Amino acid sequence: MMEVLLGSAVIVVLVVGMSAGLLLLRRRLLPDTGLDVSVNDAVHLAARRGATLLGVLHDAGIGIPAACGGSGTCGLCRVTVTGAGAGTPQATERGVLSASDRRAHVRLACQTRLRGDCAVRVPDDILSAGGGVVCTVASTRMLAPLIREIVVDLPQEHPTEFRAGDFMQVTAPPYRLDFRSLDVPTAFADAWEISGWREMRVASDAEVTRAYSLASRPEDAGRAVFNIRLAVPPAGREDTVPPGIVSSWLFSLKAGDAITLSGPFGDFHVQPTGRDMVFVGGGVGMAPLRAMIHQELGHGTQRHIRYFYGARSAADLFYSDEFTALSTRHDNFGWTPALSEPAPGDRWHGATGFVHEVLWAEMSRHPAPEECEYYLCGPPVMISAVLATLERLGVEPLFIFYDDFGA
Amino acid sequence: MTGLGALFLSAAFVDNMPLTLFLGLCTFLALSRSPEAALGLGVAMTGVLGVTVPLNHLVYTYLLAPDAWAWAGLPEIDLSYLSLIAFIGVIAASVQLLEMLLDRFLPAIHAAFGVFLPLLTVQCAILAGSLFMVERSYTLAQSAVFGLGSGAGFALAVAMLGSIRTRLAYADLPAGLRGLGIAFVLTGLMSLGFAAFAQMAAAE
Repeated sequence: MMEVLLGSAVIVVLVVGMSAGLLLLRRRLLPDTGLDVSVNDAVHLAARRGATLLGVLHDAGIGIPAACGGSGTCGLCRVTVTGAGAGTPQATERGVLSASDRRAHVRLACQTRLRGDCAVRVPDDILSAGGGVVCTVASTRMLAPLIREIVVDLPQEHPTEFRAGDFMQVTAPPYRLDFRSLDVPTAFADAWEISGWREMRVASDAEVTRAYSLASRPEDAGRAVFNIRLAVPPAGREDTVPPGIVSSWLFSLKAGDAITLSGPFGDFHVQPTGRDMVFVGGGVGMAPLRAMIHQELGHGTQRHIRYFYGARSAADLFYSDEFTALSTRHDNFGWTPALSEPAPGDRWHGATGFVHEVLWAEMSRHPAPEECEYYLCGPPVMISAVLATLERLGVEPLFIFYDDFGA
Repeated sequence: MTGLGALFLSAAFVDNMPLTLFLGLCTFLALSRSPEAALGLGVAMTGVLGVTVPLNHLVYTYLLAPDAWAWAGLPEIDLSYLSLIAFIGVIAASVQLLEMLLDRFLPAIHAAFGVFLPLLTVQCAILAGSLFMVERSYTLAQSAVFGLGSGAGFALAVAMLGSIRTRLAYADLPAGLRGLGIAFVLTGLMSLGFAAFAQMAAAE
């Protein structure tokens, strides 16, 4: 009995004593003091040691985009940080930032843990864009089995200036949704029943933010148009993988509902040159390309524009009439939709095959494909296939601009 | 040579932790990709071993050893079976202390360690240092020298491997051997080299 008591006492005293000693030392060595973060030499924020820079900026309403939610993979939260308080780049940042970025003190805000005072430089438009703005949904409609167009009325006082190719951040509140309650148009109801998407349900108990490209045309001034693809789980894994949290919430919106947006942000823009432009899109990669094409044609550009768009079958093809009309109205615009698996009932007379194959077939007849500029937006698989095709065509990476949804 | 000097050399070379006893290989291989990180690991190992072995010696002698409680009239009490849990506690506290010191004074090394510094808590070479100390009945001075010697031996081995692996950047290796594969081969070759020290010790 004595031995049990003594043994327990020895261990307890040893562990408690060491813990107390460490806590005291920690207070001496790493004081939990307030820090000063200066943003663009204009705003001073108070922060605590050990907090992430992204959290500090977001708490102050400075909407640095972070599509991956702060896990250091999307590389959107780049800021220039100077001062001893930023520490050295983490191993996670080395994969995303180039050597020249690191020399220029560029850091990922989500990976920067504050250790002292520091000065941050963010793009001026982010500082002026402010935090989230509550807007109203004007209309929604289904474009394809998994793609929905959502038009949002922006408030009068919010600056509506945006450059084609920009994106905005959408914040979904905590919610729960049973997919049976969604109204799916009869045209797509069969696809939904067959795939079992009606059986899905999703719940989220925190605010979640994601970035979506704007598909607005010049005539949509004062409004933001989004093409939202519902992120459904891979077939057969419906029970383990939940559907996309923000895209599911966006699918449940109806006209008149409130939605919180911030932005616009982005660095995927039309270059001010005189070269011919080739746009290649797939899925909801439609959105920024549609904005760019409408804006360029609206300015009355003389540059030649060709648009290749890949979809699986005619049901997945949307805005097709709009681009056909544009191509008859403008001599310098060509529209080439390509279906990879046209359904028997589609009566399809257009190009068949994957979009990169159609691009190869068309552009290898072009007199100088290496002299064009290429703008790509679509799923990562499509982007890598198109990049390989462009390399075969001899196009320098300098002339290729793309947005692969932050993958 | 004095006894302590011989003990230091023997701990560093003859009983080299990673290359002769194959202890602590996980951090040895993981942190030897660049010489800077390897040197940092070596310094940290030397520090942790140099502190924990004498500390554990004190804990063992005055709290856990078979006759530690004889002065209180309890000569039959033997708490030595508690040495594992006590040693691990002391090691964990020392590593935590080291982490705080690095965070405060050498943030660059702290960032280079990343997740590996907390892993030193359960590193086998460090626990082995304390267990050898008990098994071989070292005195306090011997424990300190043994700890520092093992740490220095580990630092030497990991710095050597780090330097060789940097040179390998220029080597045209078969694809399957790149990275960890060739590191294992290198470790084996270095271990053969260190076996010579054991022969020298045996010949004396």
